[in-house]
Amino acid sequence: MSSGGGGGGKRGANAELNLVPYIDLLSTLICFLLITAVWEQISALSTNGSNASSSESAPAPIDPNRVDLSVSIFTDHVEAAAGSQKIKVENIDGEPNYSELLRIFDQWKNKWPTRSDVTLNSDSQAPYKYLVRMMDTLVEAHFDDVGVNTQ
Amino acid sequence: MSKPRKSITKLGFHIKPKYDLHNLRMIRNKTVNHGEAPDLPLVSLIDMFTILVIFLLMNFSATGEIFYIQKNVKLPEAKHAHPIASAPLVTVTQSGITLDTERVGENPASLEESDQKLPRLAAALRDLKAQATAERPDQPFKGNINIQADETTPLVYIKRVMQTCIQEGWTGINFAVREGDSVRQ
Repeated sequence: MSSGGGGGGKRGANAELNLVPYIDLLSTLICFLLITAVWEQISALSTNGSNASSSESAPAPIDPNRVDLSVSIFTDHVEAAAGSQKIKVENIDGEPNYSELLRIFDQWKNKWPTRSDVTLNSDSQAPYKYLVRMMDTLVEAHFDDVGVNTQ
Repeated sequence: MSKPRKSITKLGFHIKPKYDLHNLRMIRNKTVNHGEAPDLPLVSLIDMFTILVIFLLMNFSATGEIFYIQKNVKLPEAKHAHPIASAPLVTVTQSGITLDTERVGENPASLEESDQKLPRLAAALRDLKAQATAERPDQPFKGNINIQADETTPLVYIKRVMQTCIQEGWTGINFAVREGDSVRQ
């Protein structure tokens, strides 16, 4: 009695693929990638990058109408000053109100589009994260040249 | 022709399993006695491996710098930071200051603002500057330095380190941060 299916005498059409080397390759790749994986990306925020690189060139002439932009970080509030005009921004839930400060910085940028320098003053007891996040907020508002007052 | 199976002669309710002993024996004889290994489903294993490889390849970075973060240091997060470059690393913790792996200063519990001097850090930075200048006499000294500190460290500790760095000519100060999106309120 012949077997049904019409394949009498012929070899099966489904060839077996040897998967073992493929699994070996994948296992080795996984081990290598797991060992070399970077789980935390570390970046940097620079202070006065442009000033540091151009320290040997001649200083630019001082414009008498130039308005000094500065931000002072205190433990309970932040003061944003453009010349003599000061704006006090109170902390919310123990953290500076970064969204309100970003709005102020955007206003500064609209008023002085060519300016990118801001001086950052800070209270000695304020935590370090306030300084870093303030620098981050200033960079977001395109004030890339942030100078930190160390006095 | 197969034998007719015995019918239930006892009165009462009987639970009949899906596969009786006869059927099980047939299955066992078919596989084990004929010397065939049981089939392992490899396709799902390869699928899982492939997904893992793709995920890990996406996270793979070939341009990273080796950067040691101390156990008790939690770096602050920032969204608009740039990739960190290789430079001497100053670590500021509540207890002390280290330059790369060398302890170069102590941080007392209460620090006066007038107490800004870090003579060991200054001496170590001076040595590093002299070394860098001697290695590349034809190039100007860039003075790049990385500072890492815990996010809760009072700024008085950071500021005196910065002041020492600037006094010794290391003016390119970079703050090490974690890249993150959850920093804005």
